[in-house]
Amino acid sequence: LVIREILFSSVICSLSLPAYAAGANCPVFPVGAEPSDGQLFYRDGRSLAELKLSDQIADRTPNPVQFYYVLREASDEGRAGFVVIKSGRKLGSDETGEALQSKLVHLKRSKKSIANNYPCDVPSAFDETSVAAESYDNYHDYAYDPRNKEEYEGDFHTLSKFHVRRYLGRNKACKNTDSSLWDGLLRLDFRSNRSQFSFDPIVVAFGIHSQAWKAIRQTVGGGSTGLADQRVRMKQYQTDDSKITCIPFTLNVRGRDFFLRINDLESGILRKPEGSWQLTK
Amino acid sequence: MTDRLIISSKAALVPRFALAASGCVLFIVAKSMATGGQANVGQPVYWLIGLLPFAVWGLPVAINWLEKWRSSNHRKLLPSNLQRLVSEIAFRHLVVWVCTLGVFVASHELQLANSIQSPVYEAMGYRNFTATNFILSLMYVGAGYLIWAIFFSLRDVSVMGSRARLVDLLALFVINAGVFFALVYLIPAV
Repeated sequence: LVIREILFSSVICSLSLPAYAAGANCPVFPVGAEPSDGQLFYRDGRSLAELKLSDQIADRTPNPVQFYYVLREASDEGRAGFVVIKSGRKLGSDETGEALQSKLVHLKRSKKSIANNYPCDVPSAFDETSVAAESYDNYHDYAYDPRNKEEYEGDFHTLSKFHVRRYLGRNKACKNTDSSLWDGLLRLDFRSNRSQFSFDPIVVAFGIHSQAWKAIRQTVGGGSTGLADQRVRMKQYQTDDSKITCIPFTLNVRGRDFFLRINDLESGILRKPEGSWQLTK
Repeated sequence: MTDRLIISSKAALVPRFALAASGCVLFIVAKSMATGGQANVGQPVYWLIGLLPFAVWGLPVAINWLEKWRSSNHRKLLPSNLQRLVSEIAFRHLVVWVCTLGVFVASHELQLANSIQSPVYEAMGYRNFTATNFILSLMYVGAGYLIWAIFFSLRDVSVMGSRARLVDLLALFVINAGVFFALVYLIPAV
């Protein structure tokens, strides 16, 4: 009888086990898949597929597309932080883009916060809204204050509310999502949390542009130049005991040259490069 | 220190010219930083505005020229010790002005400004930017004074000594903060 019970329970267990024992908010991953940090999955019809950097979303995929961004931490302490999800469309040569002053960047921050923010602060509520692309670029590409133009004072207020002060980061350190402090002066790493919000891949990879250089050699435009339908979403996360968590989000993938870029503000002691996917041709 | 202040000395013209030129460039860069990149060195109007604080040098120089032009039997407009004092105050004012601009530019370029300014913005609720800017002006001028005190005046005890000097320093602090607030923050970009 005992042997029969053991055999029966093992059969039941093998039937109920998912393909991969996933962490919080994660879907059941395909058989054989062992999700790693920074991987992106999407629901292709009924099945779940990994989106590789060179992949594009299949035409048959219904909108809005459900995505899952995987966060996996090797250390025992786990990690908490914020993920920045940027999407938009690159304008084709036959398209005329709006001026940066009139073009808008849509901002959204998830209302859901992690359970325990101690010793840092619980993020304040933020209603989704938009700011001028010029304000957005000034704030994240150059670290200018948009208040410097009277008409953008509201944008400065909006951006300051959108960003989170004293969020719970890696090793329980409290940080600001718009901190422009360099990652490491000695290793000449001029990236910062603020630079990761930029739509300019150069700013994301190398840090905020020099303000002094702009005063000497006048340059025009910012990361939003040549882009349309820009959306920025920020979501807080915390890995659980399984050291893995997922960020589920949906996106309407419409139009040509649709891109998705994801930045994890706490990806490592050395910040990982931006995850960038070209979802449509 | 006073040796450097002799108005008629031709040798003193070189450091003064260097101070004025660096002050102008620093002002334009600071103005660009404060206006979201709307000012740049290619706009002559900002060179003119940048030269304004250096006009205070014009006062003792003008008095000096006037003294030379007038015949020697006329009574002096300003006693020479007072003239020297005016020159000294003007020089100190300008060194502090350049130090303040240097602190402002360096803090922005080294990405420290946001960490310095954020608590002020938060305290003011990200509104009332005129008052916020004035508070920031006081902070930057205070830092400018600190740099000046460390590098230029601690060696010269006489500058720091008397109560009159303290009043003089406080007055210059307020004037410098007002000039910084007006020129860097208040005057809109053209």
